[in-house]
Amino acid sequence: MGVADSSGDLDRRLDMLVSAAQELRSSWTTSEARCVEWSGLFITEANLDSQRNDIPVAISSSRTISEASEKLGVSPPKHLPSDLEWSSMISHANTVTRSSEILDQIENAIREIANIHAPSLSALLGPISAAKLISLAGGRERLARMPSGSLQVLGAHAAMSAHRRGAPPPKHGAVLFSMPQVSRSPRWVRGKIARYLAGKASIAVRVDHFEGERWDESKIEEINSEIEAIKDKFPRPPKRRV
Amino acid sequence: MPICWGVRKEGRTLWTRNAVKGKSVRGERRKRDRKIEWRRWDPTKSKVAAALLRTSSEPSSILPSPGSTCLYLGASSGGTVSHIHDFVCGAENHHGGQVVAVEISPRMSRDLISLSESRPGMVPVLGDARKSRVIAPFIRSKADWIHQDLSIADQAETFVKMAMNFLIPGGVGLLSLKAASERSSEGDDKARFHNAEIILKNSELSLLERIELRGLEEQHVLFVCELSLGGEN
Repeated sequence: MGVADSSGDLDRRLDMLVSAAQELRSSWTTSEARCVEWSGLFITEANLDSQRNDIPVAISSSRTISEASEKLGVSPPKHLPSDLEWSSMISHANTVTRSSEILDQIENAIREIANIHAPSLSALLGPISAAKLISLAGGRERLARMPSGSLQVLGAHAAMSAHRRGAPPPKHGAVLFSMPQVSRSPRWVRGKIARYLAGKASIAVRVDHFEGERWDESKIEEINSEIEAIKDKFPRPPKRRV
Repeated sequence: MPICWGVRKEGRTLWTRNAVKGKSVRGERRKRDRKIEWRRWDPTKSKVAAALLRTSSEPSSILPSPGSTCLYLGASSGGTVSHIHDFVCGAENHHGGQVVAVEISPRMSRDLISLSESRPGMVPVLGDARKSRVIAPFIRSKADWIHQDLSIADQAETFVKMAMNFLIPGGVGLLSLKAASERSSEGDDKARFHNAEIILKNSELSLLERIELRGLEEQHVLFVCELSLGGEN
């Protein structure tokens, strides 16, 4: 395969999108927090928790800080920023709102590519998580050839290397934990559900890679009801060993 | 198991009776028990809760009683203060208590102030917790209970001074001592705790208990003191 052909490799394209989204998200969280604190310093009556999402929008769309306060429904600041200071605040807030738009855009692209590249895995875990797994494994083929136990702990590098030094093994990696079936379950069944889900995800990606028949909704329903059955089987936490 | 009105201990978790139903202060768990709502008091986030679990004496003896006057120095955003308020004041302050919360940082005070809006009886004060003159106008009488949690040097001296100024004879004072805040010239953590202990012992307060918070709050020791009834004469 020539260099020019590598752009046809969906693994690489997905990896670019996933990495771009990851980097953008981490810079967005930093800037967003700064934007909220910065505006909060001036607009003291705004609620920084409940109005959090409105703040960057209000700043970037206002001509004066008093206008921004009005949009947030509170009184104007006692001390006003200088002109240059205020325009810096606007530009900064603009990068925050712009970043979240770009992030949405990238995630839509991830959804599109993941649904084409790994339809069954996307149906099972959602396209974003499916794309993250493929990117972490270093490609769809490597993910498909991976034992489900490895897939289960993808995204838990630190915990895995601690395990090699004698710590207890991780129950799941970051990707599987982000699934509500795992993270919203009581902690004593998370490991069981993660193991079950990893097994199914491993089959799904093999179906996708080795051109099997694409999983449909009823198959996913079946898996989800099996997960409910696991939860029902262990309604109470195990007794602590004394 | 109830510890006092509005405070429960169940196994290793603590709960206070939520004074503002349906709301968590910093995302802690809530649970309903018929008409009463309980709010989880996390010992890894609150030194007072940690001390309750670790104390070797009666837990209720280190807490203020409902309706009392409390002074909290170094309130931060009010996590612990909200739990104290839960049982000292209760919903709509039906106990008639007062919790004066002093905090020096405007950013933290902002959260503290918005918290106090739904909690009558809680008095947020933006100011230096070392200055009695700043606090005096806001507190209705001498305090039955004081907790000091400041990240400054000379925590023990400050505590003694503030307790002598504000604590009522027979009142209880808790000092959460953060070793990392003391001067490094005073030696290691152990030496710093020891120095503080000596300062408390040499003061007119009587030191009742020294509670190690290791495991719940690192580098912290909580001292329980009392101003004896004859202390003022």
